[in-house]
Amino acid sequence: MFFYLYDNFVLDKKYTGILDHMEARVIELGINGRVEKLLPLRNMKELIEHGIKQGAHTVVVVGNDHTFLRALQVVAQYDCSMGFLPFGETKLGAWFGVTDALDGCDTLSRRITKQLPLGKANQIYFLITATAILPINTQLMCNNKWTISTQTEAVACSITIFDQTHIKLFIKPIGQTGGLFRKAKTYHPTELVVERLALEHPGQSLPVTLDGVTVVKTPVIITAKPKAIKVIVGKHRQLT
Amino acid sequence: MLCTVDNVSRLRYTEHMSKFFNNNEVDMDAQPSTVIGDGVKVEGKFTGNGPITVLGEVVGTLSTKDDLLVEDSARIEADVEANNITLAGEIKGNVLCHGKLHIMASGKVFGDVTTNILSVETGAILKGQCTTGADSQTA
Repeated sequence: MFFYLYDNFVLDKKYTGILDHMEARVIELGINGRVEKLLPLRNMKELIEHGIKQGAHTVVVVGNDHTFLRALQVVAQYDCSMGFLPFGETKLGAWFGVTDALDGCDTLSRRITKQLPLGKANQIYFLITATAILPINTQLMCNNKWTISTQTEAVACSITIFDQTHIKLFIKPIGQTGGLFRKAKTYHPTELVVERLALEHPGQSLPVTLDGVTVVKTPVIITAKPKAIKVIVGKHRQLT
Repeated sequence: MLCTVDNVSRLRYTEHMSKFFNNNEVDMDAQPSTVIGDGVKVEGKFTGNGPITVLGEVVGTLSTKDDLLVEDSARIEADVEANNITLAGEIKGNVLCHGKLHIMASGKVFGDVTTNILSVETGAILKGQCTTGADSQTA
C-alpha cells in the first residue's frame, strides 16, 4: 500500500491545479493509497508510524525537500521505501530524477528502487552531504584514533556518504595568504575516508548544514547508517 | 621556475596515481586514496589501507598497506610504515618501507630507515641507520 503524506503548504490555492492533476494521474496509474495531510496540530512521526502499522510499504512525500528530510527521520527506522512528489523548488527531486509532482507519478508507477546509504549527524539522518565552514583550531576526531586540526583562517568542510560504513571527508582551506605583491598560496584539499567523525571547536558552537536544509550545532558526531534506505527514483536521476 | 616546480609536483602525483588506472579502466577494488592537504595537521595513530599523499603535517604514527607520497610541503614527525614511499618532504622518525624508498633531492629523513630497495637523489638528507635488502624486513 502507498501512503501519501501531504505537507500543509501543498493545500494552498496556488497548487490546487497541480494537486488535482497529480491525484487524477495517481488514480489513472493505479498507484493510489492512503492519504494523510500534515495539518498544524498533527504529528508527522505519529502519522507515518500509524501508516506503516496499517501496512504501508511505500511512504510518498508530497511536499518539498524539507518535508522529505523530515519524513526520512521516521521512515529510516523502518523497512519501508520512500517516494517523492516535489512541489516548488527542489534539489532532492533533481537528484532522484523527479522534476515535478506529475512526473513523479510516472516515476512511482515504474517502481525503480535504489538503495541509498544514509549519514547520521548526532541523531539526524542526511542523504547527500553535511557542510560546514570551520575556523582555525577546529578539531576533527576521526575513528577515535587521530585528530585533524585546521591551521588556516577558515576551511570549507564537506562530508558525504562513501558506503554503508564509511563517510568521506573533504576539507579545503578558503583563507587568503597572498598580499599586494605576494602570490596567494593555493592549498591542496584534504580527502579522507573514515568510519566516525567527531567535530568540535573549543571556543564556539558551529553550524553544520545537512543536505542544505537542516542545521545542527557542534559538537557533532557523524557516521554512516549501516542500513540503506530504499527510494523510488526516475530514469534521469543524478545519483549513481 | 615556479611553473616547473608545479609541473614536477603534478607529474609526481600523476605517476603516483597512474597505477590505479589501467587503459582508462578504474579498478573498483582499489582502496580509496587519502590526501592530507596543506593547511591541516593530523595528530595520532593514522592508518590507511589505500595510497596516502601527505602535503600537510602529521604527528604520531603513519601507516598504510599501500604507497605513500610525501610532498615538498609535508612535515612528518612520526614513525612511518608503507609499501612504496616517495619522499620529497621531511620525516622525523623511523621509516619502514616494504618495497622501494625513493628520497628525492628535497627529501629529508631524520631517523632509522629499513627498506627493501633504496634510491636517494643528489642533495637529499638522510641521518640515521639504514638497512636495505630483501632480508631487512625480518631484521
